[in-house]
Amino acid sequence: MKTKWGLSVGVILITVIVATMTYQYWLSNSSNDSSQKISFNQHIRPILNKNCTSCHGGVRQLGEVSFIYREQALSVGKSGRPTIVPGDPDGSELMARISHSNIDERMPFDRPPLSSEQISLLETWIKQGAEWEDHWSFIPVSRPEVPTVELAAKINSPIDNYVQSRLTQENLVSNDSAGKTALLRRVSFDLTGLPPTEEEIKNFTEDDSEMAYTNLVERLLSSPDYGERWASLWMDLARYADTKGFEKDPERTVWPYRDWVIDAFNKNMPYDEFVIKQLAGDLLPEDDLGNLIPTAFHRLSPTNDEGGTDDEEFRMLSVMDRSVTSWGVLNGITMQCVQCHAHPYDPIRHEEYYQSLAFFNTSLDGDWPENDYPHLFIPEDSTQTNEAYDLQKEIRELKSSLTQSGKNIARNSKWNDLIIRDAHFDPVAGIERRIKRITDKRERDANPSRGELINPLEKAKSAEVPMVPLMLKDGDAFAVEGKIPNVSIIEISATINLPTLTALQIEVPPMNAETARHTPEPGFIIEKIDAWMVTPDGQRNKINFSYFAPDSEENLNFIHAKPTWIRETLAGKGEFKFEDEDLFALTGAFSAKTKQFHTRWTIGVLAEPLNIPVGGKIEVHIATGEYYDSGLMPAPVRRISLKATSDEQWTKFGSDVARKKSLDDLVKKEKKLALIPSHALPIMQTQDNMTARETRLFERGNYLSKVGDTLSPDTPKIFPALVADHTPDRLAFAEWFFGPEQPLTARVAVNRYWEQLFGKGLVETLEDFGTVGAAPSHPELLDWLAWQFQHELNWDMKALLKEIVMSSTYRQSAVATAEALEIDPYNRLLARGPQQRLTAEMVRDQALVASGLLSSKIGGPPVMPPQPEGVDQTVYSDFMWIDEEGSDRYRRAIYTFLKRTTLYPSFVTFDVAARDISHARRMPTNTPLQALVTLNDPVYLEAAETLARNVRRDNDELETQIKQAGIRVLSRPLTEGELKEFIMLYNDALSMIEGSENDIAALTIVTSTMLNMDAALVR
Amino acid sequence: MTLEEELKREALKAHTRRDFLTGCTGALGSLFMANAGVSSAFAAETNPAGPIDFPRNPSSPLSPLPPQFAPKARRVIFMHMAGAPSNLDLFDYKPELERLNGLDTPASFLEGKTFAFIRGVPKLLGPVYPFKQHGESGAWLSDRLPHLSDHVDDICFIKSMRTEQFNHAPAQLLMQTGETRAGFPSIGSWATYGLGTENQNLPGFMVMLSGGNSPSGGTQLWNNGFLPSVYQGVNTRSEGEPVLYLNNPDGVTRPIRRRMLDSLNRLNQANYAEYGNPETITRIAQYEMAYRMQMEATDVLDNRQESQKTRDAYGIEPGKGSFANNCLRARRLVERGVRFVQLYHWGWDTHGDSKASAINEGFKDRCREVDQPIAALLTDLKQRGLLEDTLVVWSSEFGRTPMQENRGGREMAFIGRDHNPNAFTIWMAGGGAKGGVNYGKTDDMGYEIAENPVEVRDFHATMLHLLGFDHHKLTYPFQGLDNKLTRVRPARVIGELLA
Repeated sequence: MKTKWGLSVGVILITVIVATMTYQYWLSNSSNDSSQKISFNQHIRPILNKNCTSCHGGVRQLGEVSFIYREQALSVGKSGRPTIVPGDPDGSELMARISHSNIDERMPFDRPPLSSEQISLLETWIKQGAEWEDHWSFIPVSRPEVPTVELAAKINSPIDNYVQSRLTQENLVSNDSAGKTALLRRVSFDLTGLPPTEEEIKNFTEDDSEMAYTNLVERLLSSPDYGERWASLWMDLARYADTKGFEKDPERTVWPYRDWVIDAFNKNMPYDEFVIKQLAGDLLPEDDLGNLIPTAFHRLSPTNDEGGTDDEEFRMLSVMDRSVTSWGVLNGITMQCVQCHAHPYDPIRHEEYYQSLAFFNTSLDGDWPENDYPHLFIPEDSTQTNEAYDLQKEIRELKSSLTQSGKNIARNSKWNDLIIRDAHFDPVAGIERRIKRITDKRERDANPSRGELINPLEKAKSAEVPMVPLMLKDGDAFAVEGKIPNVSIIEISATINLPTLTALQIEVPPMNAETARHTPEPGFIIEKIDAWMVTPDGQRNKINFSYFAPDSEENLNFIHAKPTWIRETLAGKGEFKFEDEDLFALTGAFSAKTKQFHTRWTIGVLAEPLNIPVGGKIEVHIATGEYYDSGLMPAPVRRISLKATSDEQWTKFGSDVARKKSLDDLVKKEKKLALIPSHALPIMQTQDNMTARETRLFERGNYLSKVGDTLSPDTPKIFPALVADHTPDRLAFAEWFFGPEQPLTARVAVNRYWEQLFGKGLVETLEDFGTVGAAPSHPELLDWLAWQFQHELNWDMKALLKEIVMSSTYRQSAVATAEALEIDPYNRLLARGPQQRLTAEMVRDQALVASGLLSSKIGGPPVMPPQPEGVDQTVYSDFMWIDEEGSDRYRRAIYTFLKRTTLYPSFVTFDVAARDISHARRMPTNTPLQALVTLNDPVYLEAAETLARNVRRDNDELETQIKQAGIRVLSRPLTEGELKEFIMLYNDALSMIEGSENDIAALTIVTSTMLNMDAALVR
Repeated sequence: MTLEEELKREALKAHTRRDFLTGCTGALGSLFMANAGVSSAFAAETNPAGPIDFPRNPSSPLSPLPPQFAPKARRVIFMHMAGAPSNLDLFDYKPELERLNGLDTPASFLEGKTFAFIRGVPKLLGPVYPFKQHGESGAWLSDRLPHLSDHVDDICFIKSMRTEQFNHAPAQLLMQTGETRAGFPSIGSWATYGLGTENQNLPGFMVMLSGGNSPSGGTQLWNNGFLPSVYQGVNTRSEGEPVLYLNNPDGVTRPIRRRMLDSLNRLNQANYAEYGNPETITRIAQYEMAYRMQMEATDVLDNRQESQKTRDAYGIEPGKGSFANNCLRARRLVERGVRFVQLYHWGWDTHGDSKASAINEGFKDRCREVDQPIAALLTDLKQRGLLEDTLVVWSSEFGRTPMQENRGGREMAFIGRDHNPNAFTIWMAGGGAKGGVNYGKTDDMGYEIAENPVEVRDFHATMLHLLGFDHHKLTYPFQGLDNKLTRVRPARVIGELLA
């Protein structure tokens, strides 16, 4: 293939050749003899995808022609003729156009014509009825037959049958088993991420028993190092990082989730349970708060705390990311394509994206600045875990019962709409209130900088500030956009036609209740509500409220709704005072933060029924607040409506001892919980019905422009149906992935493990199993593994890994002869064993193991190993990278603090995936910057020097020192040549270095060289 | 075959298809085929406008590559003013706004608009500094840029840029990567992916920061995204070693390092003889390159090698990391064949919420910090005949409002402006950009685009055009899509900007 610039083809051509090689094997018979049945998947789809669907697909449907669905392909295009007529090639416009003599009419347009072989394949296929088939990966896995082969010596697992039978067809002979040390190094790194120790090398090489390798594999699988190694892989998929991302990139406490993952791997939690708990642990029936920890998985999406962001925009980004990540990780489906339009190649429709999104759109979090609510509080001292978990359960129950009891009465009461006759903002009253608040000592202590606001406020107060009227319509009061003072109290007066008043409902409806349900309006915070009854003669009687009944549990978040800085200061002093104003006001007890989707209300319950004289009026003053955590942005109310009732139940409810006790209990328990030093882990929780958002289709993927009806959560039609006996939720979605007919979950999972062990997946595009992803190199083997994993091993990950590493295929020597390289440069056929570069984590961990520095501590907060000064220069942040001292300096790589905007530099150089979006695979590179890391990074120098000192301490002779260092780095004895080379290097270095410890320095040169050897950088 | 022969052969080999495929025992099959390009078999042929095919030398992924057509620009110096300088106080002169200064903003400006910090009804704010016309082209510049004023006839101003984001981090990401979320390749990554670089002893894409802070978008702004990490921007440092881990440790002299590498090469060669893994050959080459890079990068970033006169022209103060320093380093880098040099200067977020962020205070310092160095850079490049094929870009992430900021609806002590994604000015010079052009217009208030709007993706398409690429065809398959810098919505090359 030549381009018009005369460049020859590299990458792409190889791609095609490898793919073709695969295909030709897969096609048992690619002849287009008309007596042979033509297969859509094997023969036709590749032609359509390569030549047609980019213009006639899911996105572009030029000439009203599309080849994604059969019914579309059979329909009439713009030409007026049907594109395909089954059984009738001559009547099919497709045939006419691909063989058209006029170049302007011929398809594919402006490109070389199809080959005569392709044309005749299409013709025969149409003649045979133009049957469509689903893409291979969308067809459920069936139990495959294991092929028989005659090479008993090379068969250790059915895996080998598949590989050998393929090699036989290609006339290739596979390598013999790798040498013991090479195999030990490979399997140790692969299963535990660490090299074998000297002792392990000795034990294994001296063990001649038949079970030596099996025992080794079992030991490695049960080592606690196993969990840390495999968690690394999951961290890439989970876009795990210890910060939130964007600008300030603040820290967030998510490491308990990482520890959960490590522990789950070590416990060998079955894959289905492992995933379901991460997607929907909060919805599981068992009453175990521990199940909330894994749900942090979907709280790992970046959030934006930058000043002045639209929280809804970034909430939406997170929600989209959660849906897309779930599909990508579990099924290798590129759902992100469908955000803006139908999938260009795969049969997934535009609205199906939003039906998936709907599973995630009702989570409680909202990209709130500096507040990752909702949280699970995990005590720092694990002996307090039970107490803290019990408290959190009780708090939840209390909130739920308190909310429900009020709502029940509200539902049964007869409400009278009050007609608002006058409403205005009083800015001066607002300013006065603000000044009083700011001068409150506790608040000032909590945030001294607030004091600075007093001056501008007092200045504003002294100016002439007019009242600002609200517009009145249908009895409600509406603020006029652009005329909302930021600091004010809304003063409302309404007529009332009730003889007695027992409760007053203050409602804040959205300006447009229809659209707000899916496209929210700015939220509000009401800090204080006061009311008066005004008699016809103008006498004002203050109304005494005994309680404000909340519309939702969200509005009972006394403590956690408070800004972090107030919380911390108060908790630090052990004083939580819920005085009258606190209980309602400072808690933000009536608010929609930071967006409003629905009408919100609170019900002020009167302490005593109040008689209303004829002509009496109700006056209400509503003080609105501001967002503490985002630059004190005002959170005004834009619309108000009032209702009143005479229902006596409210009076009883107001003085009900049990209700009062519940509230007291709630406060007490919140206080108690707040005093247990805890980590606040962000978790998933679902909104209650009152506050649940609706999902609609976004036009062209734009969250501001929604069309069509409300979409209920569902999975795409191409897959087995979602079965749920209630409203489908995240749990139903999570469980659906593990249904018996689900075609992709097991295939994608086994492919991932295969890739980790062999360096390449059986399907090379780990992230894309759709129609444009790579075809599998060994389709039957993939299906056999998938069937085993799902149906025989019941998602047992260790058992699956054991099956693979026990195979002869895995155990082969990695030696590649020139001939083998020529025939199969990428080892797709697996005639030799894998030799992979160490991952970023392994490069570090190996240096620590070899030098003896590695700390064996598992879990806990992330650590900061040395990093050059000035690497992190995050703006608006007082974050400091402080190099660890002591053993935390030498923890495994997985515990390194991962700052999204400035990842640990040496990891990035060794291809760690950026943790902003989910990554299914890393792209290993080989660069000079890697050389600079392992040569010059102080971490590696320290390792080299420690190794040198240790081997000197243990050995008298230079030769034995070098030998020991060699085996610790390379996991095998040095060769004669290597030993000689190192001795020469040592002597030369010794003569080039001056000073008292030049022998240590020279030996460090030797050990540093070892750590940089090619043999030390691969496994 | 000796190692040297092998390496030589590697360098030549990739250039013919036959060699590529029948390949020999060498480094065939490393980086690109093994890891990158193969991910989507489909990618090769489906798109009628198909992606370009690269002949890549796998053991030297940054080898220079020819573009798709003859380029006007062979290298880029991209200066990003992080924080968004006020276009209305530098380039976009608005007499009408001057007239209305201090009046309440009309409701029509505020309806349906969201602001980062403005609330309620702000006051209009006219240009804070006097404007004058310059050069034959008559470009308007405020008195804050006296040095740059002499170069307007070499500059192509785009006064009608607009963006989709009014928060710094996402808007910076959009400007640098074409996407508002992190995780996508930077322009510099795309450029080096497409063109490689001329000097194999230096990284092809280098980044320099000044102003005391990283830009809000962080390192993701020069990240390789889904491209292989070899295309990541390498951040040079003003203090400590100029590139991370570049310097040998204390006590390891250059001869000792050489001696180490000689051993290492022999050891690795032996390993190659045993396993035949082509990556081993690549690794040997990378270690040699690292050795050369230690010398060359240290050397090229050392401004002390320039004459006092040159340093004075840039306004460099000795021993201080600064934008001026970085401008001179940028010239030295492009002179030595570095493909893409990215400069960030922080501190332009002039909300007026403090003295440093006030248009009447800190802004003046920012202008002073960049004006003379940029002018000196343009002069220097021109004198050396480099401006002709070096594209210099001055840009930011968005513009600022014609309204004075009233944070949270409150009057503020200093003069500031809020973020305005609807209109801002950027400029290009050299490298095929047409000098003396003032493209596009904002409305009388400088609030929205009145004529010839330019989207960020249009600008990207135009830049790639100058580098010799059809932006549709510089693609990389990832997650089921042939990804490109200009992403998925239609983008156009703006012909009026081309010389």
